[in-house]
Amino acid sequence: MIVQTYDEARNWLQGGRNKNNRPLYTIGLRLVRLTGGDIGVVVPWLYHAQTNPIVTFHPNGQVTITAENGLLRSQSVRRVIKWYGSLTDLYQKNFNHYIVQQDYQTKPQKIQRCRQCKGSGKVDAWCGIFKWHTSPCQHGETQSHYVSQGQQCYTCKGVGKRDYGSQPIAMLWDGSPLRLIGGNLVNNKPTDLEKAIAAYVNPISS
Amino acid sequence: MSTQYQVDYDPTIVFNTTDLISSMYNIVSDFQMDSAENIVDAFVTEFQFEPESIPNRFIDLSGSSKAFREAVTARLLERVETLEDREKLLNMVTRWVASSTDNSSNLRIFSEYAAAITFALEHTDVAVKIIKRNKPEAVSRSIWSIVDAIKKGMPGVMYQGYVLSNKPLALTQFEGEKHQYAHWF
Repeated sequence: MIVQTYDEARNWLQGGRNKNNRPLYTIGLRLVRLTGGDIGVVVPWLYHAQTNPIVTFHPNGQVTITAENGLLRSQSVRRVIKWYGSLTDLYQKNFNHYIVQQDYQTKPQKIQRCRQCKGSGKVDAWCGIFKWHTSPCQHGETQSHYVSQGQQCYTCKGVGKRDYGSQPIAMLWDGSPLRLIGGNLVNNKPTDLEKAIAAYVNPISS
Repeated sequence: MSTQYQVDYDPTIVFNTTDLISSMYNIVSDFQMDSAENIVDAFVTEFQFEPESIPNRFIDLSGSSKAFREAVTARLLERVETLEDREKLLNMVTRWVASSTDNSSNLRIFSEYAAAITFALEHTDVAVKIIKRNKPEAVSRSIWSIVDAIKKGMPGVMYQGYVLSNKPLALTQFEGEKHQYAHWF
């Protein structure tokens, strides 16, 4: 069972015999009611799991994800946070961890010549479509053979160009608590104070 | 002069968490009804009554609401009138940072207050030390903006002016979003 909002979590708890603690029937996870009305997804095999949920649903619709003390190194924990936190992706690269939000932005487009077909739109192919030993193929061969640039490029679909940009912009995350709403970070916009400081121009020194 | 402010982790510093909030300001039951200005005032007044404790939910609120943090920072700076006040405030925020273990979420939240206040009160070296205690990947946007201000050579007084002039706006924003946190009280 995957729950992604507070209401879904509350309904799932209500449907169980124990209204404060119910299994999610997904890789051993449990849903636990916490103090203050919050509901947490706990991973039972972690130390102090019942009091340290990795995903917490708040009554105001926000979700807190936490994976401190090296928990992010666990592939299962990353997968649980991605599922229950409604994230687009959570992955590790070069020993750092990155999250991709639900409404992620993308990097600029980078249209380049297709790296597979070198811009020709065609790739080398294997011709074997003919009646064996009875009639030659369209190339005049009676045995299977390579055909230079014999089929449409499967990477660029014959266009000869491809967008090598437009990747989702990921955010570096160290596992400290993050507030999300609908899979997006809460309060991620700069405040007016931060904008004012960003707009400040260094006076010209003599 | 700044060497007296230690920001490295000191396990002997432990803050108590007091129940919100002193009898003078009973916002426990009236959180939604009370104005944002009164709520911020109540938190700031609490520090004067109990300098060795942190009001309950102060860290949660600061971590969730940037407007609350900016309003509290401005209110704390507003209250500085004498040199003694200044010393007390600097001591308090640096002790907050010193009480937090490395890589903890408390460190990030306290650093936001402490870096802003120490920089605004012209203790840039202490602000830099506080910022350096945070890992680059865990640093929030507000700390980056202080780094930006330091890099641009902005005087602390000017930063203080920005913070103080931003207070009404921060209070208005907090007024608009405080209903989200009412369930904590």
